[in-house]
Amino acid sequence: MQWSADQRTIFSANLWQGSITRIDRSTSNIAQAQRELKVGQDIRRLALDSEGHVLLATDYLGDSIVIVDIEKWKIERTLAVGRRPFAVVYQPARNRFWITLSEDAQLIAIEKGEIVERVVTAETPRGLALTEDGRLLVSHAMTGEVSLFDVAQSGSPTRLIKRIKLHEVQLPDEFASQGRPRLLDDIAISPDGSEAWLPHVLWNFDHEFQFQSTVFPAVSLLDLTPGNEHELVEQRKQLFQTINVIDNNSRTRIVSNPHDAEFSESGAKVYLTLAGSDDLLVFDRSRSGKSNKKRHRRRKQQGGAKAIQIYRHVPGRNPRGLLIENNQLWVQNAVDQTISLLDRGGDHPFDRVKLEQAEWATTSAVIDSAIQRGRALFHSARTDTDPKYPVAGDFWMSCNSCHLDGFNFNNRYLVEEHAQDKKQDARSGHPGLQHMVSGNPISDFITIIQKTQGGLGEDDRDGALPVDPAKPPQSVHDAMTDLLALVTLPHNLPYTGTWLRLEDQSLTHPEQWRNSASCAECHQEMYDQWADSNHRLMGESNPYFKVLLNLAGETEGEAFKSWCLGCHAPQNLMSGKLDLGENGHMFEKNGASLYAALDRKEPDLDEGTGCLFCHRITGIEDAGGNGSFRVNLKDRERYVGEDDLKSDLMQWVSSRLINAKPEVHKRSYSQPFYTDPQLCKTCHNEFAPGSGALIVDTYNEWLLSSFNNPADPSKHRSCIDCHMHADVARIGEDIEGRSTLRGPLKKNVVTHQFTGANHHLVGLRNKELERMSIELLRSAGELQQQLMTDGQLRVRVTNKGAGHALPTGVADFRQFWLEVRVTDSTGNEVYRSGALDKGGNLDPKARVFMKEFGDMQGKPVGLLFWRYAKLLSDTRIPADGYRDEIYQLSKDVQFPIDVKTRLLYRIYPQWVTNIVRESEPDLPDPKVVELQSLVSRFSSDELKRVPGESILQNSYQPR
Amino acid sequence: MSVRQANIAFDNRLPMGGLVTRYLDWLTYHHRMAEWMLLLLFFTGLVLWDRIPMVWPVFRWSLIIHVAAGLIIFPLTTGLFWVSHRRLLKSSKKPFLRITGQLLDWLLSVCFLSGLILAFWGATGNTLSTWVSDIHWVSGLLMGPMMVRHAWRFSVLRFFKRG
Repeated sequence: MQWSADQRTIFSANLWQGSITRIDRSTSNIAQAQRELKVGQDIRRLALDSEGHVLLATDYLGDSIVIVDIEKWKIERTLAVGRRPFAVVYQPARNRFWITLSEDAQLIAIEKGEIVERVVTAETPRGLALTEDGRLLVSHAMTGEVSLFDVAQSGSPTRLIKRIKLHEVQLPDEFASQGRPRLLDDIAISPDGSEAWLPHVLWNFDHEFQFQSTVFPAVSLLDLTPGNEHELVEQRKQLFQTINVIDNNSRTRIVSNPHDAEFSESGAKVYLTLAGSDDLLVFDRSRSGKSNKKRHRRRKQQGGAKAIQIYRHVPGRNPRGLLIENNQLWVQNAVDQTISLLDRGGDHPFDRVKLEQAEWATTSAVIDSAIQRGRALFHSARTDTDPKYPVAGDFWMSCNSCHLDGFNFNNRYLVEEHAQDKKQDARSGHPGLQHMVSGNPISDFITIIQKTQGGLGEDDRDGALPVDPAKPPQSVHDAMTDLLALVTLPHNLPYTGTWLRLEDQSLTHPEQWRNSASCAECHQEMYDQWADSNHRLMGESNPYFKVLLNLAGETEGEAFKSWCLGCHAPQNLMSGKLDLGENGHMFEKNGASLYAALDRKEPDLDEGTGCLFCHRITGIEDAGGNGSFRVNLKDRERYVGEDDLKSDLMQWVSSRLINAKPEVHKRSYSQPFYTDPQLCKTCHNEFAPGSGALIVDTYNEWLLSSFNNPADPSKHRSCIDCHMHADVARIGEDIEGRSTLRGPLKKNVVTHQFTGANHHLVGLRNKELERMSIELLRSAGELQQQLMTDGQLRVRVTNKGAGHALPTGVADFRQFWLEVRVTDSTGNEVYRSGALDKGGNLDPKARVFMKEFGDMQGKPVGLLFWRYAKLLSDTRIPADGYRDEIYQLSKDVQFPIDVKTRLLYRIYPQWVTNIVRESEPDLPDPKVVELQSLVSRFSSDELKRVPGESILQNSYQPR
Repeated sequence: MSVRQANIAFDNRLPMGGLVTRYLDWLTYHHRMAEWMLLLLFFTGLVLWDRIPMVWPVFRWSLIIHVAAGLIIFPLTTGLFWVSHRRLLKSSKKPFLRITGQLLDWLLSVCFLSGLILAFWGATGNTLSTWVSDIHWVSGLLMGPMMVRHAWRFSVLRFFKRG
């Protein structure tokens, strides 16, 4: 909410209603005084210029700002600014607006309706506040930091003064207030400019979720003395301790989700909205002053500011914005779309807040829709709204306490927040799920609310009834259905299991998927490379995937398949299909079925990722993996006739037009981030929905490797430098080529065969691609071996060629192992490890480099890898690292001995192939590929060396 | 309708070759369609210039109009007019018209041929297509103003001025 310049009018940003409201206070009839203007999708914050002529609103979901002419009360301009603009402040001295772009990590300045400056900031800038002397404070919601910028000077670029990392603390007692500051949306500066108050929560994720120990509300304070800005760590308001109000049940009163803070005009009091428990908290600062070491410990911790009142509850749900004038206090209730008027009493410590008018103003929002009811649940931490079936226990937390603004890029911070030993607990999310959420959202929502929030009977101290997630009462079922309606909104999780989303729609029509074979007319080489690759045939043509997909559906519920299909068959999923076709093309060469479909004028709703799919990814929304990108089929620039797939003439015409003027076509199917490893991360990083266990983390393996070296381009290798390179033997070199028929000769052509570790399936179709895969695999590892003085054989495997762990990806299924054979002077084999039996099964004692996943009981999860809860072992070889394997040889061995060591690789274990072959009898066994081989002869002299001396042999000594 | 036109229209006894000849004779001095066509191609082509920021719908329709008109209507209007009119290159007694006419003769040839290449072979980005694209663009850009200046006395644009 904002005042007009003359303080006669209040303007409110109506969030999801997509509107702003102007309320003239001078008119007694509020209904007549109120005017609402629809300006976008999700209006978060407002600011007015000093003359009161222009209002600027941020449209969070619309990625734009809206400039409104206040006098005419109409939109003057809508300007696309970047991803998720959030806060806005006006700087009168420079006549400019400052805006945070929370997803783009930028701060922008707007003057006269134009962007005049962009400043790159730390991640997730959200809250903004400006001091009188031109210091701009920016809170970073998901990293717990506050940046201070010097914006005082016109004509000079914005300068970062400092970044303050708010204090993090972990205590042995999980029930004490602790954790990492998160969700910092607002900054309030005291009237004298000496202090800033930042409401936030503390995430305490270092143990299994439990509603009284996972999220704590707090307010951090900053000392704003110029040149000495710092956090007043001891004065942080750990709200439970600070309040210490005992309620009727002899329990400390709990509040949740502190959102906005506002100082009274004198600065004597601070008011705080609590958006989860729907309360208003009042702090009295009248006794605050200079620190006195002799003061009582509690008063010292409170910095003299004492919580004197919890106004429980404000009349509306999800109170956020605050506005104060004299003794009047307005509270904006976000979910109800109402503004309540309260009388704050005054500045005396004994003055108390009283309600004046519950619905001082309202918007035209439809409150009683399924989405709105779901939204109320999502944001609510109330225990007393429905005492029998409360959504939270003891007012502790809501979904929004962690899932800030739903399910979007902020999710990455949840995945990465994991702070436990993965061998104890690899999950960073919800425990006890029965259906991985998407398999049965209603049931798992109940489990989540119970286990995480203490709701729905988990905390029964206030009379809540138990709820069986499998058989909930009708009212609970209905409530969860409402919650699902919110969760599946297009900007949230429309397919529940995957973060994949279509822009502005939830489903496509199959006809929208242009047949990729039509692209071959001009991009023949690219098409040929892709057509046999695993990026195309990764659905029904991948029998291993098919078995796992069906297993996922059977064990967790059909809808859970969306988790898999989001990356493996997104075109199917987005067309509303959860089942794969029966026509696999495991042995098909050169995309023959696509050509046949093109002849029949049929679109490509095939498995895998077709041309149109990948080349219409218009944005990455880094949720940590799981297909977290946005696809847009609607808004591409289409030449006349391009979509008329049934007409040969129009296809010919459109082809001529594209070729005659191809710049727009090129622009429409290409984005700057296509070379960014972040794009690969969206599918090649994988976490279990709900539990958050990080199953595949290839991106971060690369990020920490020497291959990620942008400062030295000669050493820097991104994903495409190895996996989309025309010649594996020349990785690191540019290879000239053309991506378009008669197109320009590119210095380095990015090829589309996606060379990877799965040589087996690709080899069924294309021997050249198989050769490239194996060549790449062979370039990754190096062998060395040594006979040590104690008679042990040490074999070292070094990861010298992969910018990620060996193996990465599905490392729980890949077999990457050592075979060691030792023969003595008589030629007899005296030691053997890593052999296959007659059935092709690997010796259980073989030294295998892999990850093994277990459930919470420590039992291997086998094929149900999404049930990963504990890391049983991780013997993979990290990028730039090595692993030594020690073999104990017999003491009686007759020297000299010959040691033959081989590094072997098989894409799938035999037992998995055997299972898969039951449904796919034509599937051949994957072959064992020798990646490296080393033969050494050791004499008994080796045993006489100085102990500990390391002489690893890597020279080949063939007999 | 002039007497000459009437003859062409109604004299059924003339053989086909004679009809064409007479039509071309008539067309020598009837340039309107040809000029309108060239202006259409000039302006729709200008819209396609990368340096002019243009919204996609306008660009999209300009492209199809430019290509379709250039391939179908241009040969039937400007092309025929050109065939009939270029005999004046030698016979005209006005040096200015002769010189600009000769230049237009070249520009029209180059622009038309390069346009054919762009339409059927494409501006796909290799060196040859880049050259062809540049030639088409430069010749078209020169041809528009030159054509207006060449035909200014009888230009369709003067029609507006008079009106």
